Amino acid sequence: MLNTCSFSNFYKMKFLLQTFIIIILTAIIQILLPWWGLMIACFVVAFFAYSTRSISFFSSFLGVGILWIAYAYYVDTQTSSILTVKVAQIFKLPNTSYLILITGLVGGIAAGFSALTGHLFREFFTRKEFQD
Amino acid sequence: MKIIRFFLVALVTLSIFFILNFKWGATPPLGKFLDPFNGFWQNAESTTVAFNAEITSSKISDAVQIKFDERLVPHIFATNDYDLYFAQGFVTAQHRLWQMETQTMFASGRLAEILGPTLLSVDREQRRQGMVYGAENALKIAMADSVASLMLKAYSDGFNHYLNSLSYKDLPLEYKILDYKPEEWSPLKTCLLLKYMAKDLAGYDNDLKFTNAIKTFDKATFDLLYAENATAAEDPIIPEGTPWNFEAIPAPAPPSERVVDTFTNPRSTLTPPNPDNGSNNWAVSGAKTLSGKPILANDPHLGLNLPSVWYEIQLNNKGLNVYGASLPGAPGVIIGFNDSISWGVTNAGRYVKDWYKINFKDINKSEYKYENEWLKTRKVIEEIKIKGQPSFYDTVYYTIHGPVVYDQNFYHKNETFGYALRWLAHDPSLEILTFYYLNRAKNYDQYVDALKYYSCPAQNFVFASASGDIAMWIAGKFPVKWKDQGRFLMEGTQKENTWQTYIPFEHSPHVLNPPRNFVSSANQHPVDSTYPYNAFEGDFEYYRNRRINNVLRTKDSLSVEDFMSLQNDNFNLMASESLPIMLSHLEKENLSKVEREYYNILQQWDFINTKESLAAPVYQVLWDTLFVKIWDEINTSTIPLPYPEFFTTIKLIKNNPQHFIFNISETSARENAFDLITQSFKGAVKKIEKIKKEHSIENLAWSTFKATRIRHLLRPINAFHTDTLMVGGNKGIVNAIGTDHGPSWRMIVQLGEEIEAYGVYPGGQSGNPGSPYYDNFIDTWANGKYYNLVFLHNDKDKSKEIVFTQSINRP
Repeated sequence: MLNTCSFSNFYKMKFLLQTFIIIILTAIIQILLPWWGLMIACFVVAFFAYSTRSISFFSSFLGVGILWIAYAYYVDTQTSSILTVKVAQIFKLPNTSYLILITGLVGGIAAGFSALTGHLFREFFTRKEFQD
Repeated sequence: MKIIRFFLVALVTLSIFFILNFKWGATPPLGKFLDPFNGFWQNAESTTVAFNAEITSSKISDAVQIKFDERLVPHIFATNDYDLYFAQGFVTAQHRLWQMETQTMFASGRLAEILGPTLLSVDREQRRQGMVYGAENALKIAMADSVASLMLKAYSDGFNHYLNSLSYKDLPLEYKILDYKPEEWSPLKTCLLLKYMAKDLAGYDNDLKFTNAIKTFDKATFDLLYAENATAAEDPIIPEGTPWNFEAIPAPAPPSERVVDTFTNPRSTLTPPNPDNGSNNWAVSGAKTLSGKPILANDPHLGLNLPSVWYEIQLNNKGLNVYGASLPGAPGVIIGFNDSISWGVTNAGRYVKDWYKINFKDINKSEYKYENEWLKTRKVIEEIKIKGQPSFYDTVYYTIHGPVVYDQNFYHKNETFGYALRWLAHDPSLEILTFYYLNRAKNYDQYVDALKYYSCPAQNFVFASASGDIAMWIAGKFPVKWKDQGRFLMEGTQKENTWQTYIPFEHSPHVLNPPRNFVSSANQHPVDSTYPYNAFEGDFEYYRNRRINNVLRTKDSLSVEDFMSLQNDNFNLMASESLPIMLSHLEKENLSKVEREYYNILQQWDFINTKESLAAPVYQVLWDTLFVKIWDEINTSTIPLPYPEFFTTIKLIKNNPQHFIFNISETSARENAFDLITQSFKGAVKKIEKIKKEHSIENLAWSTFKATRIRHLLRPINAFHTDTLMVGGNKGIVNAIGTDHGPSWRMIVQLGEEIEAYGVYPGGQSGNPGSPYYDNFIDTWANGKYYNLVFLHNDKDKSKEIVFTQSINRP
C-alpha cells in the first residue's frame, strides 16, 4: 500500500516536472522557431525523459495547452479584446473564451502527439522500465 | 508491434502538423495562426504606442525623427529629400503594408495569385486595359527625372527597410489569414498605384453604350436622352463670363465618312469605376469670411474601405513643411497645406478613354489596317498566376490605338475584329512632380507651375494662399477633339480619328480671385458652352455644385464652422426639384389610407436627408422605382445602353410628360409620365411597408434604409467591417455619404499667419484590424465632427501633443 502510494507520488512528481520542463522549453523554443518548434520540444523532452506513454502525452498536452492558454489570455486582456472578438467572429465562436480554449487545445494536441511519437521512438533504443 | 505502433503515431503526428501548418479552404493554417507566440495574437495591439523606437539604416545620410501625435499621425523631420521620403515609405509600410501591396496587386491584375480563381476575370480586365503598360510608361519617364526618381527610390527603400525587418510574427494579419508573404516594393508599384487612382477617376466611359444608343434611337430622341446640358444654369466650375484669353487650337477635321459600329455581342462591358466617385472643394477669399482670411475646404468622395485610402502625415525638411492626406503607396502629400498655401482636388471628368475598331488582316491578328497600310500588332502574353491552379495565359495585341481589350477571347465573338482602347492613363506622366512642387509652393505662381506636370486623372485643383489669393485650375492633359470625337466607337483605320494634338496647359480652364469671392467645384461641367474646346463627358454632377454655390453666394462672413456645416449639409436639391412635380401629378383620388399617410409624409418633407428622416427613404424608393419604369427600353435592351442622367430624366418629366419614351412597351395602354409616377408611388409604398414588416420596425429611418457600412478590403471577412453607421446624406447631396461610398477625407484650412486646420477621415491611421487605431476616427466622422490637425513648426514644437518618437539613424 505504502509502496504503491509512493510509487504514484513518484509518477505525480515526474508528471509535474515534465510538464514544467515542457512549459519552459517550449516558451524558449517558440521565441526562436515557428509554431512547430513546440513539436520538436515535446518530441525531444519525451525522448529523453522517457517516462510513461501517458505521462509523455499528457504532460506535453497540458504543458503546451497551459502555456498557450496563459499567453493568449494575457494578450486578450492586455489589448481589451479588440482583435480577439473579431477573430472569434471569423471562427463563428460565441465569445473570446472559446477562442482561447481552442488555441490551447490545438497547441495541446500537436504537443501531445509529438511527445508520444518521441516516447515511442525511444522505445526502439531502450528496454521499457515502467509500464503504464 | 513496436514498429507499427510508432509509425502509426508518427503518422498521426505528421498529419497534425500538415493540417495545422497549411491553409485548408478559407480556414487559415490553424497551428501557425493560433500560436500565441507568432500567430494572430501577435497582431493584437493595445492603446500604448509601441513601435521599434530606434531604427538603423545606412541608406539615409542624416538622422530622421518621426513624431507621432495622439491620433498616430506621423510628423517626419528630416534634413533632405531622400531621407524624408525614405521615412515616409517606412512609416506608411509600418501602418499600411498589406493595403499598399494589395492595391498594387489589384492594379497589376494579380489578385488571383493571392485570392484564387474567382478573381481571374478581374485580373484579366486589368491586364487587357493596359494597366501595367501604363505604369511602365510612367516609370520610364519618372526614372529619367532626377527629382521623381529620387522620390520613388527613397520611398521604395524605406518600405523595404521595414519589410526586411519583419518575421512571420510581425506580418500584418491579412497575410496570416490568407497565408502568403509580402514582396518588396519598387518604383513601379508607386506608378501602379497612381494608375489605379487614374482608373478609379478617369476610367469612366460610355463610348460603346453610346454607340449602341445612337443606333437604337433616332437622332432627336438620342439628343433628348443624352443631352449635354452645358449651359450657365448648371453652374459650371469656371463662373460664366470668365474670359478665355487665348487663341484656341482649331480642332482637327473629322473623317469625311463616319463609320459607327454596334457593339452587339456582349451584354456586358468592362467593370466601370463607381460613378459616384467625385468630390467637393471650394475656397472663399478673405472678403467673404469672418476672420478676413481665406478658407479652403475639400472632401473627396471615394469608395469607403478599411484600411482607408488616405493616410495623414506631416513632412518636414529644409524648405518644406507640409501636412495632409497621403496615398499609401505614393510619396508626398496629395491634399493638404503648408505654411503658405492650401490645395485640394475634385475629379475633373472628361472622356480620356476612347475606343477604336481594329480590323485585323486575318485570325492571326499579326497585322491590322490603318489608312491604306497593314501595320504589325505587338503581341503581349500575360501570365496570370492563380492560387492553387496552373497559370492562365492571356494574349493582348497592342496597336497604335492601344491594347485590343475586346477580341474573340474576351467579351466578343468576331475573329477578325477587335476593340482597342486609347486611354490617357497609358501615357508617360509625372503627376508625382505636381505633388512634389505643390507641397513646397509658396504662392499662386508656384502652384500653377506645379500643375504643369499634371496629366491624369485630371483634377480641379482648388487653391488658397496666406497672402490672400484663391484660385481654381482644371489640370490634366486633354486631347483636342472634334465634336463628338470619342463619344462613340471610332473606326481604327482612319487617321482623323486618332488624338492629334493636346490642349496647351495655359488654355486649361482656370480662375483667379473671381469677383464673387469664392471658387468651387463638385464634378460639374467645367465650363459653359463658350469654351472653345470640346470638353464633353457624359456623367457630370448637377446638384452638389449648385447647392454649394447657392450657400456660398448667399452667405457672407463665413466661418470655419460654416464650412463644417456645409461639408455636412444634407439638403437634397434633386428631391426639392423633382418631388413637387411628382406629387403634383400623382393621382390622389384613389389613394388608400396607408398611401395617403405616405403622401403626407412626402408633402411635409423639408428635403433634408437627415439620418432620422422618414420621408427620405420614401422619396428614394419612389425615385428608384420611377427611374427603372421610365427606362424600361434600356433595362430590356439586348445590347448595353447608357442610362440618361437623373437631371435629364427630371427635365423630361417636367417639360415633356407625354413623350413616347414614358410609354411602357409591354402594356397595351399608352402611359405618360403621370401614370408612371402614380404606379411608382404605389409600388414604393408597398416596398417600404414590406421592409418595415421584414425588420419588424414601426418607422423606417433614412440611416436604417441606407445602411452605410465601411468594409475591410477583404469583403468576405465581416468581422473587420464596421457596424451600420447612423448617418445622413446621400450621393448627389453635399454630404455625399452613400451605402459604401462618400467623403473619404474632410479637410478645412484657414490660412494666415497661423494656420488653423481641421480634418477627419472614416478610418484610422493603422491598417491593423487588431489596433485601436484601426477605426478610431469613424464616430467623429459619422457625427460630422473634426480633429484639430497638429501642424508642427519644427521638431521641438508642441511636444505635449507628441506621444511617441521613432528615430532612424545611420549605423
